[in-house]
Amino acid sequence: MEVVQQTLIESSWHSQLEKLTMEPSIILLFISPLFPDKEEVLTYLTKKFPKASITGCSTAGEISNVSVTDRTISFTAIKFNKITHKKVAVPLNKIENSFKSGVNLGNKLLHKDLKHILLFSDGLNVNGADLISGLKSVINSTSVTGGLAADGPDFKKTFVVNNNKLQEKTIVGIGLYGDSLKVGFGSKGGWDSFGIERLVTKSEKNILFELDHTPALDVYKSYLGDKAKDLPSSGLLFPLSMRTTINKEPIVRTILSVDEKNKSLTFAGNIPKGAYVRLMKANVDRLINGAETSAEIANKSNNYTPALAILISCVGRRLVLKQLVEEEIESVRDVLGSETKITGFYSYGEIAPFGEFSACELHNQTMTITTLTEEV
Amino acid sequence: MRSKEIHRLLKRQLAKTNDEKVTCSDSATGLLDQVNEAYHSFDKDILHLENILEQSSKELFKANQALKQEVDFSLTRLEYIVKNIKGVLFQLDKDGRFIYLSPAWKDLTGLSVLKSLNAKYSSFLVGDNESEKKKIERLFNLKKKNKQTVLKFINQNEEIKYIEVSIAHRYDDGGKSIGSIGTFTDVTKLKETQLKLKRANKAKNEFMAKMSHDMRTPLNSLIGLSNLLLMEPHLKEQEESLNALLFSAKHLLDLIDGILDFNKIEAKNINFEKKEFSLNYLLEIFRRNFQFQAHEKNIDFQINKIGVIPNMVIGDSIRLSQIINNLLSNALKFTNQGKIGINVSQVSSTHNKSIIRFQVFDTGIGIAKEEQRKIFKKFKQGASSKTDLNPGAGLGLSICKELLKLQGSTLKVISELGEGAVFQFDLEYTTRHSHLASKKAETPQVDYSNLKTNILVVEDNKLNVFVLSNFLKKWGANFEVVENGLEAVKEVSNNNYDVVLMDLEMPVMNGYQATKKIRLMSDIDKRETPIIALTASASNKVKNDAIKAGVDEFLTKPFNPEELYHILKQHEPVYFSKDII
Repeated sequence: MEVVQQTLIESSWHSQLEKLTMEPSIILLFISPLFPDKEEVLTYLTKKFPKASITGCSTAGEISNVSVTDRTISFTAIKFNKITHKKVAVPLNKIENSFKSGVNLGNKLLHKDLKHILLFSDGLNVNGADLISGLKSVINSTSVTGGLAADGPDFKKTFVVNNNKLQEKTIVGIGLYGDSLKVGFGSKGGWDSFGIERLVTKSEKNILFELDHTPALDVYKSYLGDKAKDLPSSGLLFPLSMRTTINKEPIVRTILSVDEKNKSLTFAGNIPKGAYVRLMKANVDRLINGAETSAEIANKSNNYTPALAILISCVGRRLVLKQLVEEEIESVRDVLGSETKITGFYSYGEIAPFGEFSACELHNQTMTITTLTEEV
Repeated sequence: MRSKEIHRLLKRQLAKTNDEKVTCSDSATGLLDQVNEAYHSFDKDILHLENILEQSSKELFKANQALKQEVDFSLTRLEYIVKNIKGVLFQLDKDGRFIYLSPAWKDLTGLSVLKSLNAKYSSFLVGDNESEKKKIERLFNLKKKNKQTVLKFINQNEEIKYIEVSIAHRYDDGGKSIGSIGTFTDVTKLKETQLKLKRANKAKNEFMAKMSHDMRTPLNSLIGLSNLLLMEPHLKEQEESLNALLFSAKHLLDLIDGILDFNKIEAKNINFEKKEFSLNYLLEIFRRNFQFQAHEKNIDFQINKIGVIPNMVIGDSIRLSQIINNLLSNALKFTNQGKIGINVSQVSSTHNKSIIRFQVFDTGIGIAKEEQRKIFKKFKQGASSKTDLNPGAGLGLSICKELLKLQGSTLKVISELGEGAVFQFDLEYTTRHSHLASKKAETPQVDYSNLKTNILVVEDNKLNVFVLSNFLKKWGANFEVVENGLEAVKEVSNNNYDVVLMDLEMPVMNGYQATKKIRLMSDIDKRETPIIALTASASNKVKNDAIKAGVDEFLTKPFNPEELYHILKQHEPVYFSKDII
């Protein structure tokens, strides 16, 4: 397996790509919505590498090696020797069809040699939890990692890369086939819940209307204070820790959008009525520790150096880490060692297995790491 | 610097530096911009955290107020409930001191709650109530978590109260006692009703015993006389009537015995004997009792001993024959062709124990599956018996089942409608080795040779005397009759008798007293005169009392002539010839 990883910048992307001599199987592009020549880059790449599957998505920050940048493209070319792959894209016309699209995608990729799926989805027009449920209903125990596309801190428009097209309302999946593939993954947050536990008294799928009979938006605004005017992005500062039963481990849900008229909040995953939620907070050190733990989990069963690590971290973490954001990437680098190529992006939601018993779940506010290696 | 708004801290720091190189150089501008942005952002973070703190505090304060209100409300509600509850709720510390008593305590004991708090429970169980202390202590010592008992308590107003105490001990995580909680409930009324019922039940039992005795006396005569008439020469056409008379009388006796037995089972007043008896002998008796009746109905009667079965066993032969008799009577009653009988086999044995299986079978009308459960119920009979001309009281099977249950066995029925029936049960007996076998092991012989026994009959009932005299005459015995115990004592002291047949209930002096008096006589021969109690009372108590008074054997009326003959025969004097001496 051969990997070339670099940051493409506005002024020099053309010359950077010209120098590339390998014949990649897959090209991953994590593109800033602010990068001006997006289409040109795609046109160039499809022309130069007609056999390569080109995919990726829009970001809230691009990760290359140990740097986090904006207005760039994190470019990764991968060449497999024995591993085969298949790229499929399925449309997602209505948010209500998220489950169906998941089923559809799973069916297209399913094969007895299927080892892993990399998944990138529109970040706003999707019910991530439903999408995952649909996919899981088909692929059983095959692991899936990936993320929801982002739009900086703006929550307006996201896209996925499907060869030479930038597409909204689309899900792209890459199935990786063959025994020589080695995959590692880890997904940890580092957030803590605080304050009283609140009962979800009114909700509909991933839209939360009331907590303890009080409009959910009011609760959020009271905690955001001055930052309320920056909603929905400032809502990322208060993810929810949610448990549906007393004994279940809580999962984290983060805000995607707000509705002033209904005083409701839309989350990246479902918030069922009757669930208990608590607000969460974070500090820099705990988030960095979280990223490190995630890398340790992804690396734990590997007695080899991974060739590539794809880091998908939540935009909410970036808002907290600010100028220190690279520290969480460095903590991952320290665990993986200097040989591994690192790419990734800041997302609106992460996808990875949850513990040992579930092929994949939608996460929020985590650093989710996927390592890929081809056995020689 | 590019930023329009320079953070106040940075502004001050720059003013202090007052260095053109720092403020104006291009390289420094980028750095200062980042520092400025970080200052602003940290300010926002601090505001953010302060806001979180403030909001959280507000919410927690509100939640705390709500909780307090809820606690107050719950307490008020609890107090209301406790005040209006009829029983007493209490809490004890680990040393048994009351730390809480609900207001009902005063009504129950007449004592004030305030004065009773901090006092140990035992301090209330003094004087007349001291005897109940042990009960409570036992309640504390039991390892069970929840316990209950009823105390008899005489309160301040000298009223007797029955108090049900329920207690639950509480332990900390380490298993150490931290006291108890519980209730006192006034169950005086309930207890009094219970006592009344118990007394009524006792009266009922006594009445039943008395009735049985009184009914058995005339029945005794009836059966005896029928037996006598059958033994004397009679016309062939009279035989059927005489047999019917005898059968009816016996049947009536069975019914009375059944009701009595059931009464005993209900009162849990049944003791099982542990006496040695011969199984072979018992089976022979069944053969004699049933073979004739079976042949009369043109059906076959069989006793099948399967494999090796012990002969001499220790157990209750009377109950066993009662059960088998009952089952055989039923078999006979419901079978019109084919056969009835008993299978006996040994299920298992150890060196001195043996489990014997008895199966009473018939080829009669059988019992439908849905009827099988019902037939064991009190006063229930098989559906088909409705048309029977001679129905029983419906107690037979129920008694058999209860008698077996009390001996740790069960009565099983295997049957289908029209396919006959098998009633099966297993009983455990202690076995003896055959060299210890008693004389009863032999097949009984009915050989009424003349009795050389000199007999004193003590009996007040003229009819009984008449029946008994007739038998004794028939057997060629010498006998005298007296009417009460006093006369009997006189007669024994004045004459020599080989045996005394003693009724127990008599005017002037009863049989118990007379027996005691005879047993105290100075003459050793008279003192040891064999006394056979002959009574219509069938209860164990009467039997035990009679044996305590000093009787040697015990026969119930109506007596079985054969049995009486054998006993009398045993007491026949033996005259040894000189050359033997």
